[in-house]
Amino acid sequence: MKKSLVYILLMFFLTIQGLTLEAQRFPKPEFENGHTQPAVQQAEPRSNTWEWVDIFVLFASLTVVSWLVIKKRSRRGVLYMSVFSILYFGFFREGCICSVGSVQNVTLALFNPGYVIPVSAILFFILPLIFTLFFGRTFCAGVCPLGAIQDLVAIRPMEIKPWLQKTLGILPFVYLGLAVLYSATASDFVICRYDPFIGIYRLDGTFLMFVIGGLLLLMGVFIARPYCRFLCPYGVLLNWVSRFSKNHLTITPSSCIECRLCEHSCPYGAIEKPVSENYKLDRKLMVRRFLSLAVIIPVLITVGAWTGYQISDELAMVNPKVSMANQLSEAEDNPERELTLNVESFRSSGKPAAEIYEEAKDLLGDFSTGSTLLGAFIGLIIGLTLASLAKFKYRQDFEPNKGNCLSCARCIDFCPVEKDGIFEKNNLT
Amino acid sequence: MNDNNKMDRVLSRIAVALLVFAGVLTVLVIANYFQLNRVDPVNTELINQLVERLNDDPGDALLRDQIRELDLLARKAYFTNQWQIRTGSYLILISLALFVILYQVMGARRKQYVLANPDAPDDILGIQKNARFGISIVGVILVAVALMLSFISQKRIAHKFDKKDQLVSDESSIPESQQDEMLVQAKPDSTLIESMDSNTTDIAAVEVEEILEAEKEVIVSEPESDNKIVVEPDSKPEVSIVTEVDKWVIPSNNELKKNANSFRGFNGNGLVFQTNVPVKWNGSTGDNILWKVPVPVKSYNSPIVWKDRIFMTGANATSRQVYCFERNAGKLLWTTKIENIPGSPAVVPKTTDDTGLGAPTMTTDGNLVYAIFGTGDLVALNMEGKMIWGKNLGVPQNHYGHSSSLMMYKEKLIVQYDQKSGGQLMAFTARTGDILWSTARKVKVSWASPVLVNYNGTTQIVLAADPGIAAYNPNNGKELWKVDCIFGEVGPSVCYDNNIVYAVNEYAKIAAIDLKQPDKVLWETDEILSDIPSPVAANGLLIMPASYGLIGCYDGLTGELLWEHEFGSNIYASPVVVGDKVYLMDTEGIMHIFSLSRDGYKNIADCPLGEQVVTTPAFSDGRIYVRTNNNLYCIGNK
Repeated sequence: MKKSLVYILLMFFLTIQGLTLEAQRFPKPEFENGHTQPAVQQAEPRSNTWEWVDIFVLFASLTVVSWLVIKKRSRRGVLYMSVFSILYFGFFREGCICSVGSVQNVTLALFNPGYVIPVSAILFFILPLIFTLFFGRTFCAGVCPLGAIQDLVAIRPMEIKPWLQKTLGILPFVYLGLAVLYSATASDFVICRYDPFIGIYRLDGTFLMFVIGGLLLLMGVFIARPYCRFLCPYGVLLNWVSRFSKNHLTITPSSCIECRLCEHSCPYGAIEKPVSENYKLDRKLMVRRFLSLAVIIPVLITVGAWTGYQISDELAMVNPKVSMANQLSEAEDNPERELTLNVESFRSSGKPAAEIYEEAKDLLGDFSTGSTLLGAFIGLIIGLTLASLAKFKYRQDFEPNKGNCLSCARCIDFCPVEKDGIFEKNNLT
Repeated sequence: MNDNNKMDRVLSRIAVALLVFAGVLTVLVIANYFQLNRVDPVNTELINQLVERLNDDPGDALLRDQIRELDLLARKAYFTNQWQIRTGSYLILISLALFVILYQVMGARRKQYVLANPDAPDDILGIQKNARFGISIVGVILVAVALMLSFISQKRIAHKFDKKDQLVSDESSIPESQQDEMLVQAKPDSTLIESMDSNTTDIAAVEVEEILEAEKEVIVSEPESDNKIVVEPDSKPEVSIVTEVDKWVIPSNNELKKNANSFRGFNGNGLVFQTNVPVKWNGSTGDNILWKVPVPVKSYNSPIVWKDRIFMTGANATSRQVYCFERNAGKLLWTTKIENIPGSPAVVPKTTDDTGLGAPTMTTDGNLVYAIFGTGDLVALNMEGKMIWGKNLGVPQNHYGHSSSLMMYKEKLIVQYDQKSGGQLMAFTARTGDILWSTARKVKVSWASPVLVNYNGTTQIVLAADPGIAAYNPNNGKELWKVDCIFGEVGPSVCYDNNIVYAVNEYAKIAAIDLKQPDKVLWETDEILSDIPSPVAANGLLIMPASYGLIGCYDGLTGELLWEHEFGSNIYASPVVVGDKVYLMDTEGIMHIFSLSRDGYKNIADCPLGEQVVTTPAFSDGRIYVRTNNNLYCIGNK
């Protein structure tokens, strides 16, 4: 109880300091002697050399963390790397560029020939996936600054019911789909816009950003890594790639003795427990189930596609051109209403309204197609998730789920088995 | 083991110390934050009191220094508080981060093996069933939310844009003759209908037609030459109709140029076409001051002149009046009180002190004189002061007070009535007050006045307001072109030279519009901007006054700032070009006369009047008529 109170106070302090870091404006004095305000100076852009430094640091960090997880099997080492990531990728680089957001850069480059994607964006997207293919989600373990800050505050993690974990696991797919849709239509980079921890890393941001970040961190004290597990869109890709990883983290360095000491060691619920063959289902039931899924999945895809199509206009409103055209249209239909700043600015730009209406119409067409595909995708994911629940994978040992395991190496310290197969008797309680 | 325990104890104590440190700092930062928000360093009571004292005695240098010192102290204290909060926040963040890291390190140092409960095996089937249920619910929720949003919008956005796009392309394909029929033709709005003056003289429709037909002939045969000094005798045909006026004459351009019949003279463009204008006078010594007479009620409209008569209005909450002075000695010939106008509000609208109810300048066509007040009363008087007609246009929704001056075009009285909502441009038959046409304008409140621009043999009424400049056909009110280029509370009127119209507003920009391509801005700049006085352009130069006392000269074609000059006082009056000279009156009553030249500011004379002036002088027949706050001056070569 006392400890929980301490952690609550901790989060309170974090939120308070967020409040006070809000930018405060001081009114400029009025000059009556004709003094003109100097022109606003633009800061120099960051040198290109730093781009390569970032790539090198990313590669080096991935290498070191993979070595710490696979070879050294050191939780402490991963912890120290997390701190380094927070300092370098978080505070020093101010959370940008990051691999999580690079999904959008890649999508924009694929759909917009006019966009020149930086090399760093490509490598920040590809390198973690390559390391994941070989070593599992070591990027999540100690390199990603968003995961690292959540990992640090996971002090009293509680277990979430597996069925709830499975259910909430749909959300990252929805987020990924929306992020791809909006970046493909050059509407917005929603992952970056709603990055909950960017305010903390930049020590600046809106009050809402600090509140969301603070709440997620507070949640993270009890529900470990909530953003990583239930929101991260890049995590969807890492999850898929990690399933094929060759040298994934194992709980035991040798062979599992099924002592069950590691059963509750994972704060992320990523440990697969042994499943005995007693759980074999009736064959007829299984066949019936799979046949149903063969029908249900196309239906879910169709329903998803239709729903996506229906909601395409609402989704399109995020696009600034569509939003502007809508505001213009509203202003024209309701001349007695006070004009918004956007409409005033547009009118003073001299651009003809017909042009923006034309552009908005084209974008709505793109959104119709994109939203339909998004809906179909979500339908497919739901169908496949239901399908995965219809089968059993039999295993004898405690293993990390390759897709969900974040390779944080917490479970390693709970295994009494040494490399040579001998286990530590003395620390058993 | 003992070493490990000692290390754990040390780490634990450091962690607690960090937490306590963060807690104390948080309290201090919060206290500082609330204190910061309570104090407004720009608006402290003590400084405000001292400033008020300084306003009463502006020459007190000691008091001024004291105010500056206190102000500096207040600002320093504010910034110091800000720095303390910022530093405190960083320290809180660092100490909390260290605490969390230490805690994790302590956790990693301890290995505790806890056996799971062997008697509670997982119910895998139950988990799968619950998961299927949960996922299905999530799917249903997603679909339900999506359909609900879709139902609310009903896919109307795409349809709306289709319609808008269609409307825009349809408009461009409709023949111009059909577009004329689509305009609002002599359709008064509801407020006008309610307040129609029953005293107006009704004229048979056939007589109105005759006027319009005659006007068409005039238009075809009249080669307009606005910006040249005309010396040949007037030979234009005149239209005469017998009415209450002995003989109704539509004045020619020459006649208008000899007089000062509206705000900023002929066509409202700020150009004077006379050559014998004085360049030297002094209000204190009386040098070239022909006469000076008091004006009964103070207002901010400028004088107009027709032949030997000078007209202006005076208005306050209790009375609205029209005055007529004679030019020789300034004798007040008559004062007509404007009252009993049907629809005139019982309680006058609120206006600000620097606008009042008598801000718009009168106009005249030599037959009648016309005036409008901030109450919405529009009146026409004959030269003897008798009201011929009067009506109320509805109280203007204008938070400062209606300021747009009147303009004459042939037999039409042009009224720019831009207000908070329902802005209009209206044309009335000058003789009867009947409305000829009214064009709705989707603009914000404007305090600018109409300017008549002649381009390619036709006349356009050009108006300035937020969001931009628009031109209208004076014969039917049809919008000819529009450019969205300025915003804000627009006070200055446009000016025009060499087929280019110039518009300006402070905090917006100067925009030049070429009448050959009026759908876009030729050039724009935001260097020296006016919010009150209107600019003037001539000989390819644009003279831009700023109300804080700066004046700039721009190249009219390119927008290049050629030179600028600062006066020591504010400027509210609009500059006027007389030949190759510019006359600019500042608020101290000093007329600055300088060359209209691109080679820098060349002062010709600074003529003090000795009184504050905010109105624009009227030039007529070698004389300058200046309205100060309380008097009317006549300046001329003795």
